[in-house]
Amino acid sequence: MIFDKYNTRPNFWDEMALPNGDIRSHYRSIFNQLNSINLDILNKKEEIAKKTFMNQGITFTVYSENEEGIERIFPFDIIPRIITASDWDFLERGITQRLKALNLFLKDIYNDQQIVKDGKIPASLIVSCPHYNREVFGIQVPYDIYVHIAGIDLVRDSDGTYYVLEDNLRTPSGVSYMLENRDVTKRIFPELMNEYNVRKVSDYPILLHNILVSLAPKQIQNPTIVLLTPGMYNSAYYEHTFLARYMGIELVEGRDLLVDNHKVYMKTTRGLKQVDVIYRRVDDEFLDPLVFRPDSLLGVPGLVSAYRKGNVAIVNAMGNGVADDKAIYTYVPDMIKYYLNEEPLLKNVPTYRMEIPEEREYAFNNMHKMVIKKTNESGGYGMLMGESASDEEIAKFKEAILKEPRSYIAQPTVKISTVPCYLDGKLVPRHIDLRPYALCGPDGVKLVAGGLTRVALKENSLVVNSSQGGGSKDTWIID
Amino acid sequence: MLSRIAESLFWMNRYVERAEGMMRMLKINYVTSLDRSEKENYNWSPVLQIFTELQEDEIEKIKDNTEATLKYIILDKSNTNSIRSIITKARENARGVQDHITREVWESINEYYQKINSKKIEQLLESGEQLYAITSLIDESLYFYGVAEVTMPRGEGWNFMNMGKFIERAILTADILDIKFNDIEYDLNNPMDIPYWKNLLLSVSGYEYYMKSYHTGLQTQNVLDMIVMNTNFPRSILYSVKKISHIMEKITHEQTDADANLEKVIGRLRSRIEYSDLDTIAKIGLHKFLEEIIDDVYNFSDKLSKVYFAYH
Repeated sequence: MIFDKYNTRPNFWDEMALPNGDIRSHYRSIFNQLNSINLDILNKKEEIAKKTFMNQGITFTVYSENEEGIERIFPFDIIPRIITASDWDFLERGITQRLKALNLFLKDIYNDQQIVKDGKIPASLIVSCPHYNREVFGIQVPYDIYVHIAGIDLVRDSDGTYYVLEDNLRTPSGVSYMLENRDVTKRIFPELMNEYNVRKVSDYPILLHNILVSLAPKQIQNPTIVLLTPGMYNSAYYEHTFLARYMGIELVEGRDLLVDNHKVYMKTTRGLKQVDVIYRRVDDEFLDPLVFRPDSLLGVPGLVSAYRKGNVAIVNAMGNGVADDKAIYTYVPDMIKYYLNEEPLLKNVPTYRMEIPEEREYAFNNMHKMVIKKTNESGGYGMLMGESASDEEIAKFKEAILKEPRSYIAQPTVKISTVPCYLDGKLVPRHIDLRPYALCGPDGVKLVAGGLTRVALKENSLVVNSSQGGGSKDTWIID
Repeated sequence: MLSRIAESLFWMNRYVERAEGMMRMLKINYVTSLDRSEKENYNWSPVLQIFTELQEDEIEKIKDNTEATLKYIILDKSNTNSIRSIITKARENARGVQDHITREVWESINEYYQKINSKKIEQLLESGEQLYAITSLIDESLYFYGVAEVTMPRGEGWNFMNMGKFIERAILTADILDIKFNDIEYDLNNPMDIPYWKNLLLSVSGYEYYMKSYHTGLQTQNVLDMIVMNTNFPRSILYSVKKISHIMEKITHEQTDADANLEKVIGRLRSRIEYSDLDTIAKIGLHKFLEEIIDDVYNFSDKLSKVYFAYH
């Protein structure tokens, strides 16, 4: 009976257990099943899971300041995280609404800028955003879709309310782990999966492929679609090969492509072949050395000109960073009201912008209750957890904030929820978030029922990023 | 197929082939170095001259030290032509084309890489088990070829892999031959007997075949015949060149001018070797004959990369 000793953390929402120890109804079955397995079998299952990831070389690369990147296996916890259908349906509606508004915002901000003219968002905030990309101003994109793939990060507060932590609208990663995690669960818990009606996630590559095909500039039978990777030293290279393989598209690097007369070609052993759609996993600033960083070797000179002429579709669109900037994030609820005339379904985490003196003062006086984030960074880099930070670290951040206030925001530490994890033979609560993957195509927004649940494996840690020692779980949406 | 992919596959195999050829040479020389009769004046200087870029004084320093020589040629990271550097390059090429090779091929090159980077190989080379270390590395390349043969789908990628392998082999064999004949001043009538040729034959895995196939005549001329023109012997120059020319035919589907030109270059080389005999070789001079072959292969390889790998 391993579950007997499961103690939730007081004042946090636990996905499985109520504060009095009772098990929520949707976890009851898995709870009973796990209780009847003996530890040896559970350990064996964990072993199989680990081995599967090892053998397949499912790794990511961790960077630190002084060292070379190190290849690591992304830790996987065998106990699935379960979300009820009613919760999911709400999240789905909330994310769909959010993405509609964000797509309209991007179209607006790169064309008429009506939202700025109407005084809903200060022009200075847009202009000062490093990812507001003037080079793509006025470019028309197919079906007015800018965000084709979004990985919106959600967390649950102590009363169980879902909050959007950030909108990842540029090149969100991790979807291969969602798919691989499910494959492993099928291997180790077939009996549990039989018992629950778990919605499937395996359609993701097909759905994405269909969208990529639909974006081809010319209506041709077999458009040439490529996945553009920064190369094998990138931390997500495994995912790039995974997706290219599953969609049957060519995995290319910048040096495989060239632009001639505003058309993009790839260099093959049979000569040049025109490329119609590029699913890029290279950041904007590296995409075209003629327009962005001239020292970039990862991009393709002339790509922006081909894009502007409409000869190639690019997924996600260039310039999306202006919409997931952490300071502009505070305006997403306003965007929803402005563009859709609807009340936002999903809540934002309250956010203090450091360039506004009163807000900054408030944050400075409450540093221990705050999380400080850089507005343009992701992956848990450039972040301060006030709760556990030393005075020295806090002083350093204050100094940095005063130097560039626009580059920082502060948020009160969200008491993010916990789930049971099987670690070292024990069942212990660990903090989690949720990244569902949403796809926008000509037929609207579609979510694969599931997502990546990231886990902070260190006890009491609230940082779930893989670069900071996080792991992941399979995520079940059940009917 | 993307040019970059074709190029990576080509180089992956070239590197594996180069490592294999070098390891065989090391094995034979190592064994020889232990023979009593050779001991007094045996040194590693010729091997260091072929396989490294060391200066004469540096060679002088380690030529009598088997352990130092083996470690430098096999393991030294600062040596860009060490087995370790070569296999690292082969693996890097494989890593970038993982979706174009089978999982088994990837795993076998990865295993080779892990082995050469392991502490164990270093320990073996420092202990008395050098021969075991060398053989176990040779086994890795044999395993790689076996796995590739059995699992890789035939097609463009496969063709470029083999192209790399046979180009490298032709050059390697010609190089080894040139050095060995240099010692006897390219004299085709030199009455050197089997003991002299044994090492050369062993280092191209041809000793047994030679003993079975050649019974009469001058050994020096027989050895030359086998290693240059015997098409039943898989490491002969002609065998490799014929392979290159077959693969070339498969690669060129549409006959462009560039393709035709490439076929011409390799076809000409092939006929030149095929229609040579000892008299013609003697007339040109063996060294010049071999040098021209090597030049032609390099020239072909250059042209090939311009047509198929070059980024227009």
